[in-house]
Amino acid sequence: MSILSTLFIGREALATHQQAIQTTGHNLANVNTPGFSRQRVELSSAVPEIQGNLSLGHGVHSDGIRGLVSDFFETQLLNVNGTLGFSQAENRALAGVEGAFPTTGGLPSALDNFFSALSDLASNPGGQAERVNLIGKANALGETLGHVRNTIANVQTGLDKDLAVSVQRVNDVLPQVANLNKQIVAGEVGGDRANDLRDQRQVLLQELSRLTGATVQEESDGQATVHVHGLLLVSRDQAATLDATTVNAAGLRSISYQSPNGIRADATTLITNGEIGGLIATRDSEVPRVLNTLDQLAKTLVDTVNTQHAVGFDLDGNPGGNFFAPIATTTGAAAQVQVASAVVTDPRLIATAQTAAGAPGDNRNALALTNLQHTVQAALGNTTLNTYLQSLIGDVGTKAQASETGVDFQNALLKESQARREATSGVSIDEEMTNLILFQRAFQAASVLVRTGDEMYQTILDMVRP
Amino acid sequence: MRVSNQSLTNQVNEGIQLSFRRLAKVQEAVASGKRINHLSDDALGAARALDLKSFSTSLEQYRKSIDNASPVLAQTDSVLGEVTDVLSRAKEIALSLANGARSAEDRRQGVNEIHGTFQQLLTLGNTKLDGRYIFAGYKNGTAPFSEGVGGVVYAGDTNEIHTPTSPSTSLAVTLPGNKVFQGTTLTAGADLFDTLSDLETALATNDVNGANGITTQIGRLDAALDQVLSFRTEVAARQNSAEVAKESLSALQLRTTELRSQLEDADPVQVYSELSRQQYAFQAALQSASQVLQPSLLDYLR
Repeated sequence: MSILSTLFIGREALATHQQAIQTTGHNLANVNTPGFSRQRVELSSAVPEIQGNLSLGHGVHSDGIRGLVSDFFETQLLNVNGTLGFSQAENRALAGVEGAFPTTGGLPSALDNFFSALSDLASNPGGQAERVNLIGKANALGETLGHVRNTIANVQTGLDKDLAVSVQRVNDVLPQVANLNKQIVAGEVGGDRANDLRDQRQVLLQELSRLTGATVQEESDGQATVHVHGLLLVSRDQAATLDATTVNAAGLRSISYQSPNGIRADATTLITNGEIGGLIATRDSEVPRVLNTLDQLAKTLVDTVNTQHAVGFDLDGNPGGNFFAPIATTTGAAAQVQVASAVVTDPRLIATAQTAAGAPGDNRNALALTNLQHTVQAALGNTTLNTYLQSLIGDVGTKAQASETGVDFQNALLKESQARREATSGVSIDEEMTNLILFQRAFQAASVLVRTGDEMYQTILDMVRP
Repeated sequence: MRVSNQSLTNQVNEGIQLSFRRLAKVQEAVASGKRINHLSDDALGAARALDLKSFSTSLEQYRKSIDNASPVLAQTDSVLGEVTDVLSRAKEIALSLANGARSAEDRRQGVNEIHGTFQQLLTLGNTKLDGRYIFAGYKNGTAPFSEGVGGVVYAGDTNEIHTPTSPSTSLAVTLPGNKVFQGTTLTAGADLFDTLSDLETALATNDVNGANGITTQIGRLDAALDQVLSFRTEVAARQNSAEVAKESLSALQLRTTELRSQLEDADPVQVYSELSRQQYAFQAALQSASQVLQPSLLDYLR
């Protein structure tokens, strides 16, 4: 027991509460910082002084500054971010494809108009106006098919560009994480937790998860190891690199992976979650599926019309040639549908008759052509042209609808996870203000203690002066 | 659960966003009058609506076909009526000239009149409607009947032009001229031109009761009249078929339109009440946001 103890207690209290006030100030300043975890000075009473059988308190002691982080909620947030990234990318792609099929007009109308024009021609097969009209409607159908295909192909190109941007971002983030790993180890040498560095790293890890669906493992020394689907992205202070400059056979980008040790691999099929996973899934399977279906429709249309046209005879009694310019392969067929140039030049070549008699009133082949609308086609899986198109559109719509619901659901999960994380780690201004008042009062009280100790010394000194 | 400033702000933002999104969606439905503005609004409904639209268009096409066919049938009927008149007139003349009281001179003068009816029949056989000869079968670009050395020559064919009235049925529209006017392919068919020209000959040669005499020709004219009548009956039957088909198509179209409307159109009452509901919800979100975000302890500390 000594006055020195009192002064000592005062000094410790001043220092500790100053630390507490600074920490409160740090929290307040970072109220809007994303990914910030509030920090708290751990106060505990100091080891007491033992004097005889008296245990005298020795004031307050700071056990260090702790960041309030819940690993459970951080991990949950990582997982949700991965799935959300995937859903968002998928939704954007499917919305783009949906845009090629408006609810009125569009491709189904163009197809109906073509068959209506054929029907009109069957009512007056000798008529020039009806022939010209048919050519017009057939070319309009070809243009519409081309336009739809183009829109969807553009979606694919857009996804490809987005992929390049995302991969570049991942490539930028990985070395930053590796660097933070190194800094955190250095910072925690003294035993204290490197709170702010960890927060920064966590923000980057959340972004990585959103982009790739990566999983994070924290090692015993505090460094984070990041994996995606068996590929090592970050280990200790080493980062892998991802590259999206190589182009595959279809003209689309593929992702090249190089591990920190220099091992190379093609990672295009290995990233299945996160935004990159979503972009690849839609770019390489969903969108091509729609394109192929469209192409199949176009090719079948051209083939069946040409076949039926060829068995008929035109106005001059000659056998019908090609009505549509023939298309060699199914891939890309939707952009190649157009009326044969010979027919455009001379509409008399449209084969409406069934016999070579050159009778202008013979509408039997025109009727057969019109009837193709109701004929099931083996190449389309035994459905009619209209039904095939309607299933395609229904499929696009259903997928888009499901994706919308999926994104909404993931977003709700994200919000919920974020709220839980914030509950532990978030800053509340009112709370910090209250703490500030507390610490300020304690600081004032401690300063009074120092003054009292000083006065006590003075009293004693005055006591022994002669 | 503790609430930090960020989580409160997030929640407020989220609430306003959601409300705004719903408002925008309802507004879209109000503006377009349609329930389905994007495929993803109702994918199944959208696909079914497309199916109905396609169906409706094809019904319209069939209706149009029948509308194209009706004038031809009407004209055919009208022409056959005139043919009947012409043949009746010829028969009247023949009957009167067959009377024993008439002289060879009278009969000779009858030749011109009969020749007149012959020419009329020829003209009727070559009736054109909308640029097409209705009695020429498929060869409707050229006049079917022409006078040749051995009699009237038919340049058309025996086909009947058909028009579809449904995916599985069709209506025969035209009649081939050689069947109607010359009795070709009919059992005991009457050749109208032949009969009249033989009548002319009989009158010129004053042959009343001979093998090819006036009396015989009168008998042949009766057969011709019956033939024309039976064709007229057939045309009437076709016109009836067309009417019936058209009526059932109209009924079907009406039902299809109703179904489409149910599927696609937004119910105005429901949509407007939804709009006001969302507007109210949006305002409530904004107001509550302002009330929750503004106050803080800082306002109360000196």
